[in-house]
Amino acid sequence: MFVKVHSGAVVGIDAVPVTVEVDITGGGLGLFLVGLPDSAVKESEQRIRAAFGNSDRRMSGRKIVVNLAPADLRKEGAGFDLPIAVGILAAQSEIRTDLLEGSMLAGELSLDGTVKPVRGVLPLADCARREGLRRIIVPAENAAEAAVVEGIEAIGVRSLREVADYLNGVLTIAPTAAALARTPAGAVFMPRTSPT
Amino acid sequence: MKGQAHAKRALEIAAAGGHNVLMIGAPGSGKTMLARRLPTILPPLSGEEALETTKIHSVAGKPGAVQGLLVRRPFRAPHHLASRVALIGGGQSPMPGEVSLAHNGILFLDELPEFGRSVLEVLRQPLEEKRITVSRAKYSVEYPANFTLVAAMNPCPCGYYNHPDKECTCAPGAVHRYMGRISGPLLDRIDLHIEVVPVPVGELAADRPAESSAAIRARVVAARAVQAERFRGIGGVHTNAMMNPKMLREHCTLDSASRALLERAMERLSLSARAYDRILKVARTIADLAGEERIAAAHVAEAINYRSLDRESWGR
Repeated sequence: MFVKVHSGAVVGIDAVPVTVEVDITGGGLGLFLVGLPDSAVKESEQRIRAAFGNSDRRMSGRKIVVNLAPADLRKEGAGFDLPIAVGILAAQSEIRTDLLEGSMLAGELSLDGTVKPVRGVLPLADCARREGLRRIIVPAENAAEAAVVEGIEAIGVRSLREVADYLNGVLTIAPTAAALARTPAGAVFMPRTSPT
Repeated sequence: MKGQAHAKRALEIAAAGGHNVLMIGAPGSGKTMLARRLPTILPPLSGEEALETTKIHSVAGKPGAVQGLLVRRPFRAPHHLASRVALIGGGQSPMPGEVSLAHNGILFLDELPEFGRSVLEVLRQPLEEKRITVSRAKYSVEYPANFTLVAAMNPCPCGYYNHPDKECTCAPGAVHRYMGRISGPLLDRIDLHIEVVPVPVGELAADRPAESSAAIRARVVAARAVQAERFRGIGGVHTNAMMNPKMLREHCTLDSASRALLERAMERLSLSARAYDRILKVARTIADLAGEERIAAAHVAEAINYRSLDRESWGR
């Protein structure tokens, strides 16, 4: 089965849409990741396999092709773990696609199946809004950041299991509300090497 | 904060108009303390500014550190061993540097001459353009970098040149060489030069309360409101310091008395054309703080007063 999942890549301080396409067909074995991934994205196969194992999921024994489109844009970081994993589950018909179609996803997977925060979620949420998507599904730690963008639901998740349950309508997660924050990283002071 | 009326006034102007400041003074005179108190008199981020600044922190910060829209202006104080890439941004997979993390806020460089010369020179472009472009063979990315530079330094290696009580022990020429570490073009881009003189013990111990930060902040916020009205509908310009030459002609018209004063100062102090523009911008901010629509001679005089490093010949 062929499935498309919305994600994005940060360029500068804005994000551009990236579509994660997953196709599971008959012949051959293994997972093929194409579309100019950097090493952190290539390594996501290992994280996803382990996360599947620890979330009581199995990866299809057939040939899985994952394409990150547009193919000429360099994809960096571990934020594609979650959209790829969800795409594979959807292509295996383990996740329904009705909610998935209106969602952007980003997040890093831990080997035990938990979801870890990533950088650049605010530009991604802004990109999702521009693309006319209804919600962005991000790691729980990033939910407040995504909620800064108006006109889009920020759904915070803690594990691959939660994402699957949410998308299948088994679990409801309330969107995170927008908040104001203090400056996160204030001054960076290192030890002095010269007298004042 | 006690004493330092002159320095506090200059920082009030800097906060109100987004002007760059260089504080010069002996060890322990309170330069760093003054700079660290600066955020308490800054106005909050406006909507458009807040979103941009938050985006930069979202891209460059620790994952998950941004917990909502930033309302406080950033205050960044990189150490003087910071590399060029750390300050400006870039790297193999490009990231915003300190100048961008300080977007719409303050970049504080303590011990300015201790920063590497090449590090300081790369600041020149963002100081003028208010953004930084990182170019790679296949693509280029742009990071906004509209920061107010606040720098502090000692007047000489030993620290006591021009000190009211102590003797400077530097060798002849050392003071001049020390100042020489800050290039002319960089100095030219700093609107306010202030000498911070140590506060006398009597004044430190005095019970007379100093003006509260909240009172100063109220004046700064009012002056920013005037500027917001002035630059309404002009994207990307929020403060007097960001005016382009066309706006400068429109909003900084001088009467004959103040023009004569400025022309005399230009001649006497042999100021550059850029310094001329910067004096006009500072005078505009001083007038805004006073709630005046027109720039008066007194405003120009005060603005000229803050170009002390153009005027004095340190160490000669």
